[in-house]
Amino acid sequence: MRIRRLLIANRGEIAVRIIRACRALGVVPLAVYSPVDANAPHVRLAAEAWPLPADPPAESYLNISRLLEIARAAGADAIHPGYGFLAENPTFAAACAAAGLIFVGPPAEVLQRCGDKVTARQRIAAAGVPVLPGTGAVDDREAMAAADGVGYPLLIKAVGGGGGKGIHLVESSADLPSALRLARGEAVAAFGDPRLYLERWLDRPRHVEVQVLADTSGQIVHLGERECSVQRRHQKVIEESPAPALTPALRRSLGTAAVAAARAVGYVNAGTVEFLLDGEAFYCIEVNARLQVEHPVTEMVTGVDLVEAQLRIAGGEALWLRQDDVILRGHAVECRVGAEDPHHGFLPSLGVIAEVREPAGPGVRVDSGLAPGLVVSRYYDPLLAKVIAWGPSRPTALDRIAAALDEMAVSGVRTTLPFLRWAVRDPAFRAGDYDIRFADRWEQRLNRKPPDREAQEAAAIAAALWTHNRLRGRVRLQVLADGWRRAARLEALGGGK
Amino acid sequence: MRYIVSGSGLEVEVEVVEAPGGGYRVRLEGREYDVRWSPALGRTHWWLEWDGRRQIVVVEPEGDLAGVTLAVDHLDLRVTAASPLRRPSRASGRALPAVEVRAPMPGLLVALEVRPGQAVGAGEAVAVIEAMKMQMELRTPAAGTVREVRAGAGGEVSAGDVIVVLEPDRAAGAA
Repeated sequence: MRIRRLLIANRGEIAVRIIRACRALGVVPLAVYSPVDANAPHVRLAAEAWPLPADPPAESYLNISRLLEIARAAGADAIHPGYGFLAENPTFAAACAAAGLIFVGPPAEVLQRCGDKVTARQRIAAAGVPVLPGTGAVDDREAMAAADGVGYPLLIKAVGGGGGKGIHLVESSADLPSALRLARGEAVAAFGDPRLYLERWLDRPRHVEVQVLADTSGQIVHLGERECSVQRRHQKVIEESPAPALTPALRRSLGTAAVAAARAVGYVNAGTVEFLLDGEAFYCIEVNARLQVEHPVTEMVTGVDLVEAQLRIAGGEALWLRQDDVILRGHAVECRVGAEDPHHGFLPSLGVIAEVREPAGPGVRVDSGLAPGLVVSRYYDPLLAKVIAWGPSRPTALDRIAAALDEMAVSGVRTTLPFLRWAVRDPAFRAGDYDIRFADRWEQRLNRKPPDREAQEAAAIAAALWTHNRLRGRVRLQVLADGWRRAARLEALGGGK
Repeated sequence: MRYIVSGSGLEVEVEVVEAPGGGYRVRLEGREYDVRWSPALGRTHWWLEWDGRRQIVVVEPEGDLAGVTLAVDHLDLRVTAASPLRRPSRASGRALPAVEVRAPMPGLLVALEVRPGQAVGAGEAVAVIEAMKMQMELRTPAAGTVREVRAGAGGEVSAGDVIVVLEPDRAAGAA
């Protein structure tokens, strides 16, 4: 391993994940942290932890000049950006290179190419891989003019985007101006780039993506696919590998298309080629030039440590795997546990983590940034932890993750755990028969069906005993500023069509 | 002690009698259960053992309600003492005709688009709030006139903060 001291320019579960890879490889992990993250697990697990000046992302995990100063002072020879923050920022990759540091990811020019979704799509189409109809970067007037040609419903996407941020679904031309304004606001806030483009929206596609590894000499292999159709607000929530919808022939076609798309953009390091699957047809939508949140499901079925692979490729090693060496074994599923309240419109839930119980057991893996004292602030992403389960078959993997989700508990903020527990037991999900609209059924369920009798009785007894003990002064009242009910009602009013 | 538990489609009387050994005898809908209630995690998670079952229940105060979260379901429940601790009703004050537009989540107020005296339609966006990289429009629940603006663009707001106070148009204000 050429890399000796690795600065991790990230936080949360992904910083912990990268620290673990470092420990296994004998690389010294160096962490950074904003003031609000002083008690976070990545700070304690790293060999050294260096403070960042303030909490807002621009002054902390997006603060290029400060991160480079820390890298120099800490004697780092490489920087891993994780995902989000600076992971796909060509300026940062170039600045690392200029400072003599290895950037663990694709070189700046590849990030530039993949980050400009419009150009990337043109290159990929030219390589013979199918893409969706859409526009180039447009201003508001051009968007209004082009929208009818693309056809409704359509998606507004950020040219500089990724991770589901800045994406808005527009059903009709009446909704376009307000959606454009929100999308531009989010694009500026998240990526510092206001450019937007339009893309055709498929009604009920499945989101399937292919993991690739590419070295600097142009060797590329793929590591199978991930099905990521369980999404909320265009953010993935549950992912699995292999994808239940694929036939062996379709799987081979997707793998070949992914390698062709990666080659078309000159890809280097670990990346993901995203597709929408509509029946037997598939369309490439983008190449994600980073380690994905959902990378563990691929690791579980291939046995390849993707962070190790990233570090080896970044260190200049030629690819040690050939396509025939990649063997998929069993089935893996991942559930993202976020600080959002699934019973009140998935609004962010902020607070301080009081206590956590994380699951374990055969085939169960938890990638977590949770610990008592962790502050869940408004500054960063709501993702807290990922629960992953592997099994020799899909039913076993799903049984294992259902048990693991039941075991997990987080005190201090509300989490998406109730939604996840429902989803992995849902008959359609169990049958593999789901698409990108799957998560809508949770809201329908909440609106339609009162909890069953047994749940009502348990809740009534719990509420009575809780109140009884409070009135008796046995339990000190934990006062929470809480406007959730009213808030959910307001959101419902605001979101109503 | 007898309690009335209501909300989320439920209205039942629950009688709680403390039993020797720290447990409870609970009567619900004509049936009696031996129940144990003990801390599980933090100050929010409890072990509830009743009728041969053992489950974790999360209970958090939500204003004057108890927010109860089971493995999957969530119920917002009001618990009042059936006797003798009946609390005075709070709904006796005169209802204000104003409509408040509140922040649904804590965050940064990135835009505020109305001034006092301005007429607004129902469902009109009055402000944009951002947290965790997500922007959300705050819309008016009713048409009316802006009476008061209580926050400024660029400032931090907490969940439930009143951003704008509206004087609703006559039809909407009848309630």
